Amino acid sequence: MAFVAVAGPVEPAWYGTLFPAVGTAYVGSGLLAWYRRPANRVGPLLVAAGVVMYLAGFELTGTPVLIAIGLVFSLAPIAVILHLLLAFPTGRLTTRAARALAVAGYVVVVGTDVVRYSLTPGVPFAVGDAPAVVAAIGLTQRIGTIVIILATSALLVHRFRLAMPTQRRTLAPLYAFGILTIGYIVFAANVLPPLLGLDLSTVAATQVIAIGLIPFAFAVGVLRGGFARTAALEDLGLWLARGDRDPEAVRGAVAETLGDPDARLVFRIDDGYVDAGGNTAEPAPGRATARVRLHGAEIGAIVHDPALVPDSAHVDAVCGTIAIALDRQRLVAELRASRARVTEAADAERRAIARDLHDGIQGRLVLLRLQAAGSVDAGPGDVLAGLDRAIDELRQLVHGVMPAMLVENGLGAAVEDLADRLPVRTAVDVRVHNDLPPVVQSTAYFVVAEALTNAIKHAGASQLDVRVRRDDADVHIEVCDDGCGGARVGGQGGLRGVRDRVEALGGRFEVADLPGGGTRLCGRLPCAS
Amino acid sequence: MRVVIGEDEPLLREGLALLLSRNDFDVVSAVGDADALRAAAATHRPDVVVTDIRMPPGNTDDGLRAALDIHGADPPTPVLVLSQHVSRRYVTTLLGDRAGGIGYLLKHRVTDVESFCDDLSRVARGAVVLDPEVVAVMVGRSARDDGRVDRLTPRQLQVLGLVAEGRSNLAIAHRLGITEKAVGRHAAQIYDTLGLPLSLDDHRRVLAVVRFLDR
Repeated sequence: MAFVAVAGPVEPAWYGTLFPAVGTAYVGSGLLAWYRRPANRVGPLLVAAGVVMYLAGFELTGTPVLIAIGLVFSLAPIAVILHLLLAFPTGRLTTRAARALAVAGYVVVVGTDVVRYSLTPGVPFAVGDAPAVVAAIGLTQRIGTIVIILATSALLVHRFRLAMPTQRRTLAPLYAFGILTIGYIVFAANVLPPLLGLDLSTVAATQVIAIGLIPFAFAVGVLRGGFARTAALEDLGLWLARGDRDPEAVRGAVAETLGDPDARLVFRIDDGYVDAGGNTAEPAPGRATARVRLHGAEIGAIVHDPALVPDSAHVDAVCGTIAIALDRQRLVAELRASRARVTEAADAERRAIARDLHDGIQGRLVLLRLQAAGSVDAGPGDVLAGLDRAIDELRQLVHGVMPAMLVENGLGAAVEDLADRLPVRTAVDVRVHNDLPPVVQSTAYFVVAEALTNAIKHAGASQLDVRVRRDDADVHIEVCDDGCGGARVGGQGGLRGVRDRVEALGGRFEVADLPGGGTRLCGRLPCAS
Repeated sequence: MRVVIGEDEPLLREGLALLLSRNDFDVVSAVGDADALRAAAATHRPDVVVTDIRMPPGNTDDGLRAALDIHGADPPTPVLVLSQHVSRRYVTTLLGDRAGGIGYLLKHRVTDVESFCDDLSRVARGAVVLDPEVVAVMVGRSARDDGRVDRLTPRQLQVLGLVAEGRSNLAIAHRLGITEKAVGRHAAQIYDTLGLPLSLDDHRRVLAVVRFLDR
C-alpha cells in the first residue's frame, strides 16, 4: 500500500507546484474563517494544516534537509484532516474519544514515519539500519491508520445521528467529503493504477487536489454558522459588546447562534412576556422557552424550536450572553408599553367623560330646553327637578375627574372622604403634609382609590386599612384588606393602570397576598422636592 | 339682617346678592377673595357671612379658613360656608369646639331659595346647619362602623339625620309628616341607644349628635 505517491521516479513539472498551492488554499480559507469567526478554532487549524502542506511539499526540493522534513510530514495532512473532522464545527476536541483519536492520528501517521525514516539507510539524519523494524513499523502504520479512520468514521456517524436536521444539512456533506477524501488518499494508489491504468503521478496529483478541496469545505461550513454552536457564542458576545444593537439585529444574531432561524426574544413583564414592540407574546405550542436571567431575576426568554436546538446548555449559554443587552431592550419595551397604556388610559378617560357629558347632562339640558319652551309636556316642577338632577350629575362628574377635597385639602382629606363613603369599614392613617407635589398627591389618591375599589369589588373584604407615610425621598402607600386575596396586576385593567401611573413617576407598585388571607397593595412614589 | 358675601365667581356672587336682597337680607358687601372677605367682615360687622370654600388667593380652602377666622373673631360672626362638595372633615373643622352659628351647605342649595334663606337666618341666630348629603355620609359611616347606630330603625336613622342637619323637632315632624311628639319619642330612643344625654336644647343636641357621628 502506498500513501501519497510523492516519491515516484518520474514527476511532471507541475507536480512541484501542487503542495504550495494546496497549502495556500488551506491558509487562505483558514484565515478567512478565523477572521469571520474569531472564536472558532477551525480557522487556526486550517492555517496549521496549510503550513503542514507546505512542509510536506519540501520533499520535492533538492535540499537533503528539506527532503527529510518533507518526508516526515508527507502523511501529516491525513492526521490534520482527521483532527479537523473530529473538531468540527467548533474547532475544539470536546469529547475524550475525539481527543484520543486525534492524538492517535498524529502518533500513528506522523510519529511512525519519523521512526521509520530515522531507521532508513542513506537519508539525512538516519540513526541506523533495521529493515525488519522498518517493515514492522510500516505495517503498524497502515493497520493503525485504517483503524483510526474507521473509528473516526464511526464517531462521526454517531455524532451525525445525534445531530438535529439543520445541523445534519451541514455536517453530512462535510463528513462524507472528509472521510471519502481520506479513504481516497489511503487507497487510491493501490486501487486506481491497475483498475484504470493510471500512472502513479496522476493518482498522486488527484490525491493532493482532493486534499486541497477540504479546507474550502470546512471554511464554508464554519461560515454558514447554522451549526456554529458554542464557538459563535463568543462572537455573539463580542458583537453585542461592540455597540447598542436594535432588537431585530439581536434576535437575528441569536437565531444564527442557535441555528434556529425562527428563534424569538421576549421580555418578562409581570406574569407574562411581551415582544420588542410591547405587545403581549403568547408562547406558541411546540416552542421551548429558555429563560434569560440577570442578577437572579428573569428578564426575558428565548423562544425557540426545541428540535432545532437540543442542547439546553448551549441555549443557557446564549441566554447568559444576551442578558444585559436583553435587559436594556426590556426596559425600553416596558417603557413603550407603559407609555402606550398611560396614553390609552388617558384617552379612555376622556372618552368616558365625553360620553357621560353627552349621554347625561347634554341630553337632560336638551329635554329641559324643550320643556321650558312648552314644546313637550311638562308637569309643574319637572323643569326644576330636571335642573337639580343636571346640577347633581355635573357635580359628581367633576368630582370624579378631580376630587374637590384633593384640591382643597390635600391627600389625607381626600382619602378620608373617600373612605367615609365606602360600604366597608375602612381605617385611614395618612401622615403626609400637603406640600407634596400635586401630581404625587393625585397619583397617590388614585392608587388608594383603585386599591379600595378593587378590594370591595373583587376581594369581598370586610375591613380595609389605608396607610400613607412619607420619608425623605418617597411617599409609601399601603392598602390592606381581609378579603379572599389573589389580586394580580394583569395585562390591563385597574391595577395595571395604577402601576403604569406609579411607574411613570419613577415609583414602584406591588400586589401580594397576605399570609393569613387578604391582599396587600404597596406603592412607593418618589417625592424629593 | 346684614350679610357679607364671599364668592369668586362674579355671576354667582351677583346672583346670590340679588337673591338675598329680594328676601329681606341687607347685603352690605360682596367680595371675590378670602382676604377681602376678612376685611369686609371686620369693617361691616354683619349678622352673618356667606362664603364659598374654594376662593382666591390660594384657590384651595381659603374661604373656609377666612370663615373660621371671622367666626373666631371678637365678637364672633356666624358663618355659612358653601362648597361644591361636602366632607366630614370640614364639619369637624367648622364645628371644632364652637357652640353654634355655623352652617355648611352644598353650593347648589341656594337654588331652593326659601329653604336657603331659612338656613341662613338660623345660622345668623346661632344655629348649626349641616347639608343633608354630608349628614347622610356621616350617618352611613357610623352605621357601618358602630353597632349602636346600626341597631337604629330606618325611621330613627331618618330622625337622627334631620337632627344632625340642625332641624328642630317641629321641622322634623313637618318633614316626616308625623307629630312633634312622635319625633320627641324617636329622639329619646335614639339618645338612649347612642348613650347621649336626653335633656338638651336644639342647639346643643345638634352638636352632641354630630360629634357622636364624627367619632
